[in-house]
Amino acid sequence: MKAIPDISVVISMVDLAAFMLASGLLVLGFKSKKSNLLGTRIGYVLFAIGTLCATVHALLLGNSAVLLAAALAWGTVISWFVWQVELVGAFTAPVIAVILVSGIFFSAGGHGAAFTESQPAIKLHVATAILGQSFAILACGLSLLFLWLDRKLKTRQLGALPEKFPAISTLSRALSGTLWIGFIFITLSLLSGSLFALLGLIPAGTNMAPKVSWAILVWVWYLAILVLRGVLGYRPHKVARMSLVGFFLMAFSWFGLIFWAPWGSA
Amino acid sequence: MRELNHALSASKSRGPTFFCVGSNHRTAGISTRENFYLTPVEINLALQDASQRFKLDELAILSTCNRCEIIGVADGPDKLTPEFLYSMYRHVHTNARDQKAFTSDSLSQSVYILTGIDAVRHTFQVAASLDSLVPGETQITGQFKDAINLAKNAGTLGSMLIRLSQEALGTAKKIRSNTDIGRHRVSIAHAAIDLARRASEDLTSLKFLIIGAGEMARVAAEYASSHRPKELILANRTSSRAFELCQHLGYGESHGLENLQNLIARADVVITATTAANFIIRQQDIVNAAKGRGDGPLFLIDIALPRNIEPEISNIDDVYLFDIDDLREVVESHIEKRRESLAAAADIVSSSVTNFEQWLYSKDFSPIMSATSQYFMDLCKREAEKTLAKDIFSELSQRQHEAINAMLEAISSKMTSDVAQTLKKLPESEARQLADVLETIYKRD
Repeated sequence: MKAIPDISVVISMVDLAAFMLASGLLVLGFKSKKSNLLGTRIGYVLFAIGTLCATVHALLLGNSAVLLAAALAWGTVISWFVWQVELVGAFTAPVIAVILVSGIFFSAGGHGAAFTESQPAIKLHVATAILGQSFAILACGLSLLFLWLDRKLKTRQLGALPEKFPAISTLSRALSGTLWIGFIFITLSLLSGSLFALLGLIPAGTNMAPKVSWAILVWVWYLAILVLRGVLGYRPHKVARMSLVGFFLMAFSWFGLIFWAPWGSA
Repeated sequence: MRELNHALSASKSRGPTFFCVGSNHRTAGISTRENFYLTPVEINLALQDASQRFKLDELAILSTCNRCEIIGVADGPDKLTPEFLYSMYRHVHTNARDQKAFTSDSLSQSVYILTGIDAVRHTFQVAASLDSLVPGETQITGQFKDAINLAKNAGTLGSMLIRLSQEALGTAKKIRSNTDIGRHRVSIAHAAIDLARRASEDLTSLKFLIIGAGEMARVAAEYASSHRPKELILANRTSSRAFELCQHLGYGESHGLENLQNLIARADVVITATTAANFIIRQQDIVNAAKGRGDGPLFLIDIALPRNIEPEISNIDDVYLFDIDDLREVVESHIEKRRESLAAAADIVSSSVTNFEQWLYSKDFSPIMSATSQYFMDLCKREAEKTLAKDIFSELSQRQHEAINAMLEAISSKMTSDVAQTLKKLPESEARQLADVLETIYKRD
């Protein structure tokens, strides 16, 4: 039984180191004017190693932070392959590293019981919630990139744009995609939480009302973004601003999860 | 490397020496360069005249809007004094243009002189466009080839200049393939199309509308069509000219300007390059066109002067407007990126110069080796004739005579080859001493 924590410690160290190194290399790579740098390629390899380790780490002994880190890493990988937004790795790798570090502190403080020790119903609910959060973070990163590019193009600061910065339509497409995926997971999380609470599968603990109310508010906000974009034809830069607000709403519930809500009351 | 430097100094002291005398955009202003510019016909006459007058067998003149250089080979460096070279440069220009003679002062201020390996290095840099106003531009390589062809036609191209030009062009090709020096486009029309990559990295997914049919529009259309965009719409006030451009490209569709709003509604990128005195696209056109468009961004790139697009359009959401000044910034940043490749390119030039020095070094010994070979051959022939004339060999058949002669030739070749191998293996200073000994013994005149 002792072998699992040992492996978990090793893996947690490897994934943290991989994401920290990948952060430096990817940020440097995208700041550089040259393309296909060896350092950038090594950064991608380290990001992939970190993603695999974080996944194993999450499955073995994941707390909320590790789960979120793994989900965000997978979201990043998806955005590379589906939308070819490589730059987002330079944004998410440092965020993932920070989440992993915060995970270590919160675990040390006794916050966050192991995901593996939870009931299946809770696992499903937590997994969907965390996937929703990870895509909200990804959408936030893409929104920042989009708004920055929009500003540079509007003010015609073409010389300030990095060579490998994604095109504005690519960012717009990726932003819409992540918002949709995130919204689906948030919906599933809310539905599963409500259903399992009704069925008594989630044990009654602390007062859940503020958290549920907040989660519904977040869900409504993202729904509004998608409706305004899809039905009323809101332009991408407005959507990007709204998704930033959505992220802050989501972040509030995330910090709430870490500080006040162990798995049993998630 | 030290050995090569010795070889160089040795070659300076005796063998053929390259030189380059000229002026360029760094040393002379445009008004001076205008006086130095020579047409191909003038170059042809100047080469023949200067070759005879200054007793130089190998000469070439490279004359472009940014430089006019005389490249040549002299028997040795002694001849290549500044007075001699300035005098030649002055003669070439005053003779060709019937201009007033340039004063020595004006020449020393605007004309540079390079000899030996410095001239070789400079020639490599010029041919590879490292010395150009815009590094990496391809035009100079073609102009360098033209200069060599002109020298050939004038009868002033010899083996040394041929070798120099081959190495220079080979170096230029290597630099273009192995560095980023030519990657970033530096014309406004090209920059306009490249800017569309900020709308979508994949240009084949974009719909381009190019308005105008002049030179800028043509270059932009050619570059755009080379990327095979989703749609290429060419529009011009005189639609027949747009049609002709379409025919020339074999791609796209042509229109007049009557339904401009509809055409804009179809496009992702609009490039205007007309000579119209007033705006041809106004804010209301874009507002109207937006109703028929999807939700993708619209890039408006105005490369005309006076401008064709109303500047207030940039206030519309998801519409990005750029003018010629913005593109000039892009072009300058591209030039800067090219300059960043200069260090890598300079390394390639250095390597080529080293190879060229090695060739010069081996070539330096070739006269003494041919003299040695000739001496051995003559010696063998003489001794064979003397010996075979004796009575005891009177019975030899023709075939036996031939066999003996062949054997002696082989001995002569083998001896020459042994000497050549020894020269190659020896350190430069010892090789030089041996060459001096061989020259003393075997060179007759």
